[in-house]
Amino acid sequence: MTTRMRAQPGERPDIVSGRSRRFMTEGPGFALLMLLPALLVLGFVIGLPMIKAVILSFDTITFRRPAAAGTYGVHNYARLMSDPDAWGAVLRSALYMLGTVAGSVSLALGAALLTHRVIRLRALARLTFLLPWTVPAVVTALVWGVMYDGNFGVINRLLDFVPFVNGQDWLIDRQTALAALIVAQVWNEFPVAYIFFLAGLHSIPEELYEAAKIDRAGAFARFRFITLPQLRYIIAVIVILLMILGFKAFPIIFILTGGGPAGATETLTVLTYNTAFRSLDFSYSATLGILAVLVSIVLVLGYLRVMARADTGKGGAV
Amino acid sequence: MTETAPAIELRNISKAYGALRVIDDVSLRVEKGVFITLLGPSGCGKSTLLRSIVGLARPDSGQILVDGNDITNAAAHNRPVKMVFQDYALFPHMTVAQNIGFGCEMQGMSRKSISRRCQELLDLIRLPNLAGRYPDALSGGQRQRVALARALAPDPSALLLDEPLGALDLKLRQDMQRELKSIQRRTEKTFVFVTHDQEEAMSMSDLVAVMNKGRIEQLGAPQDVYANPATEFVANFVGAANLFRAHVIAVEGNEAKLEVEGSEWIVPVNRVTCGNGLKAGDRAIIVIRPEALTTDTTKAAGAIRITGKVTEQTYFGDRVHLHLSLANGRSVLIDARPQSLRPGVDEMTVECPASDLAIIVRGKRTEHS
Repeated sequence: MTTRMRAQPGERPDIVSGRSRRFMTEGPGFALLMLLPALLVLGFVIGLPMIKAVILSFDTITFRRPAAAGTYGVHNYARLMSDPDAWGAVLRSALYMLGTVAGSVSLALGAALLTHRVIRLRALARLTFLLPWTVPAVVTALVWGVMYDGNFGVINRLLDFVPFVNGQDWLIDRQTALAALIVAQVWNEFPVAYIFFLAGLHSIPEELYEAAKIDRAGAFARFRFITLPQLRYIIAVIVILLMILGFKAFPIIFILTGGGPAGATETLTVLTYNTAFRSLDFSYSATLGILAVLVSIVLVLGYLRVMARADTGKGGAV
Repeated sequence: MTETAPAIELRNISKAYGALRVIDDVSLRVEKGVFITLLGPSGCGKSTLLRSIVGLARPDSGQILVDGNDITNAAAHNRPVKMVFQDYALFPHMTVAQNIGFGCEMQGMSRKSISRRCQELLDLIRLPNLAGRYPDALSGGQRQRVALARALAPDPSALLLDEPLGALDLKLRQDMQRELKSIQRRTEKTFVFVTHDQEEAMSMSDLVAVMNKGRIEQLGAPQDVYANPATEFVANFVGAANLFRAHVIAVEGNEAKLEVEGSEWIVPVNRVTCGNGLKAGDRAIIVIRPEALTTDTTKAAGAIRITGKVTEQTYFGDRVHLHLSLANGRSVLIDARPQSLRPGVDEMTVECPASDLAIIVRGKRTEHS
């Protein structure tokens, strides 16, 4: 049996305890309570190191001048503004990012269009295109390292069959090293885009193509007027996701070239690593890391904006 | 192309998916400016037939002619026919004007001509101010009209409509039926309409082709198909019907004596709906529409009288449905005026003028080619 207490005339009901109970059981307090474990973990593994990195970027912790530790200031940021190596790395990161995005998007879209229509051996073809995704980046780097080898790599062996084209040391030549890394990165990450495009293509109603076909639209016109506009939000999302992945790419570059030859492949992430663990200049490395985080935040904001537009956009496969 | 050539002519079209024959030797001739409906249940092959005409399905055998030209092997984009899809298939990323002008653009028309044609069609479908809207900002009826305008834009010889009213609610569907018929009259185009809704087919069409199991069971004007069903399927599918199994005892002059489920009926031979008339020994089905049976018996000579127990009376306001159970256990439906409602009445005799029944000789089939 339950007994309900009612406020008697002239007696003030216990409003405060009722409100706070509601706040904790069904209001924002409840949501906060449920999120608390995740927030604690995230704060510990992301928030704390981030704060530590910001503090470190204003400090002067370097192996070359141990006595300078504890000297706080904006000197690292001033150095960053006039450091040609840092801005060169930013430029290489941008090139690497654009190269991987262009390569992955075109390869993934082509593969998705091919396996979306082809009926025979479709499952095998899809599996083949997805396989690179299952390979860890470290293994990808090692395999491509062997393939690029100037003496016994399979790429040069295959080029022996092509007239007037000579093989070379792909990862040692300054002209080809960055492009070679981009190819390896594209191979590893294009399946992410492939999955998205395949899902997007499946969501386009077949009737749209039939209607266009009846209206005299050829294969290219159907691709231009139906497929591309219907995939526009997916393409936008994929481009930004791949930009983020490309910008923060590390293992493949680090294992294959370590930033060489002569800094030709030293992207911002690799420069950050090299500054910290080769030059042992931890504070400046933290400053470079903060720069990388700021660029990533801009990219993430772009991603969120595209997602918001996709949610309220007119038509189109999302 | 010849002046007298029909808009669409199908010659012995057949199509099978594996062992399933979806179109079975269909022949059909549709004259210019006619509104014809392919009517049948789901899976009877009507949509496949439509898709064969427009070029989205390839028949296994037979010939398709449009304006006298053989287009059997022509690609879909080279056929002078257009199609309105069940879900309209409007391009969601294009405005109404861009949707309507798409076919013209693909034909290489100038921007000015496309714009003029769009405005003409927007006026025709009575949506002159919606050129800049996107399909998702239109109602179901407006989308349907835009789909119609898009199909009409390249000025096709014939327009094929695949259940385009299926997604609309009843009131809107009825409005759009009138609108479609009105547009067809104004444009004088040949419309081939596909539906499973027999009331829709009856109210809109100049001709109805009733399809079943990949074949056309009957082709005719709606009132003819309703009054003179050629097969048992047509009698059952188009409207409600009371069917009686009969056996021809004798034929004398213009009358035939039939044994109908234990009774003897005298019926006029000219009520046979297909074939070469009746002869003794034939098996037949007598079709009596529920509204042909009246509770006001006249005792007129030649009228068919049926007596049975009233098992159910359902009142609909403007009419009443009576169910009679005959002595042999079978049930008969009567669609009568509300005044016919007889609370408390146990037994009733109803009458049908012999001229209102139809006789289907079993085992015979009509020809349409």
